[in-house]
Amino acid sequence: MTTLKLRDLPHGCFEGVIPAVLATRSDDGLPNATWLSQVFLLGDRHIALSCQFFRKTRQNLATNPRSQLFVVAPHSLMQWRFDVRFVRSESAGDTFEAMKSRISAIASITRMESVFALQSADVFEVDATTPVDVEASAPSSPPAGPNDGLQQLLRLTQLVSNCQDLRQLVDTGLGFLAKELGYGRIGIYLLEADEDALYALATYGFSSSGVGARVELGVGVIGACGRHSVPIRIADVSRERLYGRAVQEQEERVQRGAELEIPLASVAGARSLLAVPLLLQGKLFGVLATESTEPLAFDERDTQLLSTAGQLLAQGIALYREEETEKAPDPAPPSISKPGTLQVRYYEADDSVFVDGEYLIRGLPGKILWLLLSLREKEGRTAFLSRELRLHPLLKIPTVNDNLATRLLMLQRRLDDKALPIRLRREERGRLHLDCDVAVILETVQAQPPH
Amino acid sequence: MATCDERGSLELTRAAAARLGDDGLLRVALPLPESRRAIWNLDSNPVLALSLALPTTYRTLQVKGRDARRIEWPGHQELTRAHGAAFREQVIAVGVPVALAGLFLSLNRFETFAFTPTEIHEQTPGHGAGLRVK
Repeated sequence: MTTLKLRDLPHGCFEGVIPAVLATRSDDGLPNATWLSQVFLLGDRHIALSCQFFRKTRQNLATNPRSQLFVVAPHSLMQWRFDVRFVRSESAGDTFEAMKSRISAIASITRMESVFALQSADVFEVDATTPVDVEASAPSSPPAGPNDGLQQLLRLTQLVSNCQDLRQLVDTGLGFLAKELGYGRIGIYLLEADEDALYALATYGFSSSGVGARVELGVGVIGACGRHSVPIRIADVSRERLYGRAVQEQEERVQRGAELEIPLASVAGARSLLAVPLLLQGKLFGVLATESTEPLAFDERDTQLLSTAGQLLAQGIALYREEETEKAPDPAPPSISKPGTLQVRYYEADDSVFVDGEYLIRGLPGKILWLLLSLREKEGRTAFLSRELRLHPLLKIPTVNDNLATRLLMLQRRLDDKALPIRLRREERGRLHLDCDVAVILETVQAQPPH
Repeated sequence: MATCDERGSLELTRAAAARLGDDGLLRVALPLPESRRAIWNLDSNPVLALSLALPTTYRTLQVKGRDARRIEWPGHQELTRAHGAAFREQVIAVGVPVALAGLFLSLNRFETFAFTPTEIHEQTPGHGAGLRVK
């Protein structure tokens, strides 16, 4: 028996990679063993266990709070027995919310939100930790080096502060995080508060950029991170999916006839996920998220590093303001250089835009594109001032937290990704050019009035 | 396997090669040295809970038992070796590195026990977890 501090144990013990086991004892002296999906480290002497499917365990703890927990460090396969004492159940508060966020993220990955409801965070005091004496145990992996990332953060700060425009700021920031800090696949998502959703502004290291992709708050790791404004780290997605599948199969056995969705991959091939919230003035601004094909790729240090770097980027993006120009837009009329037509359909209900029947973008970027195309058709011009867009009643750009520049960048990238004969250029500060190589036919689908 | 001593102190240990015999007893091998305390518990308080889980599916059952006692179990070495190999394949399939996959439990020395199963409970995660099967 030792008095090893819990914080000194490998962090992987508390990442839920290899299930832990909790033993309790009934009033009549019968042991019970149950597997746990989550063990949360609360401090040097306390842990919290996720109470999701406890039945007998809950009854046993009510009468016999002394129990034992068996945990495994996934990097070394070292194992420990914790002699623990049940202290209390929490169904509100920081610990409960942190656990709930993580479980919500897992539930969302596996499409099991209705089943993965956290009933309570059960807090235990750890009286003793004892290493399990297995023959030929592997040596414990060495702790991570002392590199605290301070120098890299300083360099990132310098880079961000020297950026001249928003595109450069976003690309430089994500590129630095990927190449210098090793977060090879990373994306930044901005909140659209009116829609309770996040939109991908930019990504780095993925086969397709996904710019403009929409993530509802609460859905998936990114959405759960945004919904709860807490970092979410998934140590091994494949294990979580497996766990979710087991729950689903169990549900189907118990509730025959219930139609539940088959779990779908939310991030193909990724094993580790980390999403950190970006907050400005205490409110959600966006989410920075990274992934790795290796399990256990991220630890607490990564969470801290990415949170700090993300805040730098978020502040840079939020503070970015284009110099306004009063110069009149270029009167050059639209010119069509290629044969053919493009049908652009705009749905008022959700501001979504479809091009030749294929979804392009929605939300504010969709509304901006529709406005630009409409102005081009009505007024016969291809150049526009940011200022006129900012003041246009259709767009309803907020005077506080102006989000025009980021949405223009999102739209510009989305058009580039789709390689459409419509392009948005920003050759001068405060001025946009809309190029259409073919004739464009506009069509509006009006929103149905509510019944 | 969860055991407890006469004062109620609990001890968890991994177990191997569970087999149901024609006599209705469930046999199990407890690895050494990590099961010393569990063995001591069973000697003095022969009740236990054995949770059996398949790592690749999370399908889990829990068996409650009484009357646990040490037994002679000829051939248990082959069974524990087979169990070790099969378990290794399972954990590798769920992402445990090959180099570590054999380190969950000791596989050289075992103490063998038999006990009377008294209850079987569904324990696969989900709302049905805990329901008595038998």
